[in-house]
Amino acid sequence: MEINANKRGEITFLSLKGKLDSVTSPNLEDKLLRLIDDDNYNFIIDCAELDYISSAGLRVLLVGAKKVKAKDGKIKLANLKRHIKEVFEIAGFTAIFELYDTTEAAEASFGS
Amino acid sequence: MTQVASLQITNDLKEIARVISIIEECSSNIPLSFDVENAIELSLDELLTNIISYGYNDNDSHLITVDLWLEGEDDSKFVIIRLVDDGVKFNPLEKKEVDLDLPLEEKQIGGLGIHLVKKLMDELHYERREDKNVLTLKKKLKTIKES
Repeated sequence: MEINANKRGEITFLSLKGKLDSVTSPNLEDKLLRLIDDDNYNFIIDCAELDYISSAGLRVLLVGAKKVKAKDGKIKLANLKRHIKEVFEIAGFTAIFELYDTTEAAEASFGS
Repeated sequence: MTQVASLQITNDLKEIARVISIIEECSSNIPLSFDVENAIELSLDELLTNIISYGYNDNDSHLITVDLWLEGEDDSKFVIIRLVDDGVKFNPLEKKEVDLDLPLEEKQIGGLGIHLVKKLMDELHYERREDKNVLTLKKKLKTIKES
């Protein structure tokens, strides 16, 4: 799993590449929690190159979403592949995460 | 019935990657559609992670058997996966259904893995046999017309 982070304005962009499973999820959790500790509360996670997600990956996203919500922030996701989106739907995660077709659309949604 | 794969792994989370790579290899040989392959991979990942993380009360090494075969013909072909472990009795079918409608603050992650497996597979069958958990999963293959 490759995780890249950069910040533009008030939004922190994370891009994920590879598999988010029980082995790699702790890396994302570390990174996400460190960023939240450093006062970053609005995230866009670009999943264009995310090939796989298991419940371990969903758990990390949920932990992050709860933390940022306490600070009025949000984690939004963009570019989910069809099979990843299906896992989100089955898990009931489409009701708690905003999903966008592009990172630009996700970014615009923060502005409104 | 056509045997596709039969392997034994030890109760070490690192072994899951080995199972997945063998499944990927089998999938391209059969071949399986991407959706079926992903459903099988995710289910095995969730179930093996559960067994290895919570299935044992000791620090000994244990073997888990994974068998995969094909059944049926033409329009009703199935992939069958059987997991056998000697861990504590655990019937995933008895687990309480997760409440998917809870708001973010109350949303719990426990049980989500099993929920994914139940939704991704067409049938699950559990049996406790000679101090072993025997879990059989069945996934229907899509016909060429559907895929």
